[in-house]
Amino acid sequence: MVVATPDVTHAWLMSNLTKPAHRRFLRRLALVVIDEAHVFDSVFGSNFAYLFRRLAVAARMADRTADAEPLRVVAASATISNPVEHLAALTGMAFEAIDDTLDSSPRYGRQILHLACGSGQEASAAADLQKSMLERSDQGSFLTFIDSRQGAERLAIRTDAEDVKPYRSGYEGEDRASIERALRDGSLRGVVSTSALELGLNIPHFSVGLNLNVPVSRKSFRQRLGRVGRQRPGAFAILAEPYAFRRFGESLSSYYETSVEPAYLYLQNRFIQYAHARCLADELEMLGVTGRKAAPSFVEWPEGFRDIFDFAYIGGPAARPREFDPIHRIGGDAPHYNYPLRNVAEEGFIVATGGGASGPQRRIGNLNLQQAIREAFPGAIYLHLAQGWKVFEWRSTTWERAIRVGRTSSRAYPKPLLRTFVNVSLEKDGVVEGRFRRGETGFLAECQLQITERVDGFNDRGERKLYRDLQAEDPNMRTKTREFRTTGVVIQISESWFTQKGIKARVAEALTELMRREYSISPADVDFGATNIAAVRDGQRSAMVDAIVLYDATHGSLRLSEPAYTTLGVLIERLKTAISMTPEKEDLLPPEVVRALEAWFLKIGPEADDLADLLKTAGSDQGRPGWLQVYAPGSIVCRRNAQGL
Amino acid sequence: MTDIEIEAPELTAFDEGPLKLFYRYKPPGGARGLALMLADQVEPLGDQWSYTYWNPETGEFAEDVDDLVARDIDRPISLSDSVSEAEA
Repeated sequence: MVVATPDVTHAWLMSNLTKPAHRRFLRRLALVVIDEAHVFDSVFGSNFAYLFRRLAVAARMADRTADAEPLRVVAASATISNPVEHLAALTGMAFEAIDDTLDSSPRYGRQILHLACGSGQEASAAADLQKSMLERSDQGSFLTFIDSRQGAERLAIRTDAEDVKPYRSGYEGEDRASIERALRDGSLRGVVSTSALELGLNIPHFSVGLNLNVPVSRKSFRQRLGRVGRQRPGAFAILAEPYAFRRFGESLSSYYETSVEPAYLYLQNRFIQYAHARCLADELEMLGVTGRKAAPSFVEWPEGFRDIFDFAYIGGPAARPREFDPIHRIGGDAPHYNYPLRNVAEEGFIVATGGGASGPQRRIGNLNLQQAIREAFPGAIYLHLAQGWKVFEWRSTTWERAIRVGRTSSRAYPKPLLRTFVNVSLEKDGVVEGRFRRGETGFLAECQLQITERVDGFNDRGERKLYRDLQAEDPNMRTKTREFRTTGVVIQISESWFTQKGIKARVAEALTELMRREYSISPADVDFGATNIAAVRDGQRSAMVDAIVLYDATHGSLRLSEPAYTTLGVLIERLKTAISMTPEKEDLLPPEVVRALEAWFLKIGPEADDLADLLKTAGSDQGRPGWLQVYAPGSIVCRRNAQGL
Repeated sequence: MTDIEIEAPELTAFDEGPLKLFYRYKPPGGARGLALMLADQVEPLGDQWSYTYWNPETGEFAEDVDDLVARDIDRPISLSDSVSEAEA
């Protein structure tokens, strides 16, 4: 019997199939238990689905006897609305559900509260509450959830108590273990955590739970709620502005009572497929399949996987398209170690202090690029275990990817000046599945996108500091860039109301937030752009100033933003309901904007067959005709080949 | 791939074909002359580049500095936040 996380199964068990002990184990493997099955959704679930299939292949191939029994699977889940369908997609096998009518576990009463506070005041209200709880009681402990890694650090600092600690990912194993020990032995009175404490740790003595703002998914809410009141009655409070529920057409009661959303898997993401195809090819090699290979047919592979497998190994029958070069590079010679299960592979950095004249280098944590440009940009104060670290330098070489920091006691935390550029492919191949609907004054389309996120400087105590000005004194003060390809939904409206100051951003933000709530999408997985949007056609990028884009924030896209195309009408209806429930000054969008948006949508036509003709004119009548997006003079770029003239 | 430093964008037509976007860049090795590269043959790499907006009719450049707003440092979190060092 092996008790393992999927991560260890992927990186250790599956990368050592030549070892006799591993093969012996797989040959005798009869039963797989999947605990907390609801966790396996989104990116992690999609990766797990491929890992499970690879495990099934290895088990079958390790036992080549004629009477080999197929794997049996038992799965357990607390909060999931579609267990049979979800597990079938997750494993490719048929399941029978034993539902909660047979549940006899002990339960205690819990009070669930919405504590209304001023918008933007949630953190200070939480800090006051935490201090008050510590002063007025010496019994029990509390757990506060906040959906921000640096926010968890700041809130712990504000509470200013030795027995309250932050908790999040990115800590070294030793630091995490120390906090977990203190939680178990009761020496910590409170913890401020990201979703990192939502699952896995079984600590039953929390009597009070706090949540800053409304949890974006009901699944997450149930999970957080379940951490409280396990040994005795408890209370769980959501600290949020007074209209936090009504603004989105809900109430605390409806939010609690509505059934938990289904779990989603994105098995067609071709970059996830490529990572697992490389692992599978290595595993087949370890199991004795040399030369040309095929994905074994006794396992049900999601659509598209077999095609990708054909170019995922050296000597495969197909050539690898260029778009797979970056994901291939990340895998290097050890795909099992270099492709993580919990996100789509992304470049990573270690955060380290010391080095050179400052003494020996000490690693304090790790960040991926998406996190690094937001939390540890040059000039930032990176918070780690409630301690501030000033970011001095990014080292990015072939052999080292590190962010060098030094201790600071400053409590002024600079904010990054981030710009996002969205390039929309308005060519026939750039429109996803022909999803293009033209109207009298614009269009609605799902397109391939290239997103560039760039930190150009930071705001320090109200002063805007740009790297281009800071560079002369400190050469380490340089812009940092993250680029990725994805898909998204483009809404173009050539009407004057839409381009009035601030309206595009408000419409984009409202639709994105509604979509996240309606379809339970993690806030990190979809984002929006309302400025710096360009239409790409024939290699040229024309500025689009009357468009917004709702897009997948994950490299390669999970197509989570699809509902903005398929059910935009539903989102507009939800918007109408929401503004009918709040006073006008609290509305998500002004009523006249909602009416104008609906009128524009009603004039949008169906998908047409003559897509190529439609695209010739789409985007050419933008509100800022004639302006092209170009690389700025002085930019250092690469030329692809020797065709210079 | 070779690093080049962009001097300016340029719209040029060849053989009565449509206008296409090129970049004028500094010839390598300090050589003299005109070096032009088709826009779709140029790719960003590293951090020493930026986008700007250019109007070929007037030759104006615009940076849209209004877009450069301070965004909250708070990053929405995802499942990746639950990964521990030992698991990663």
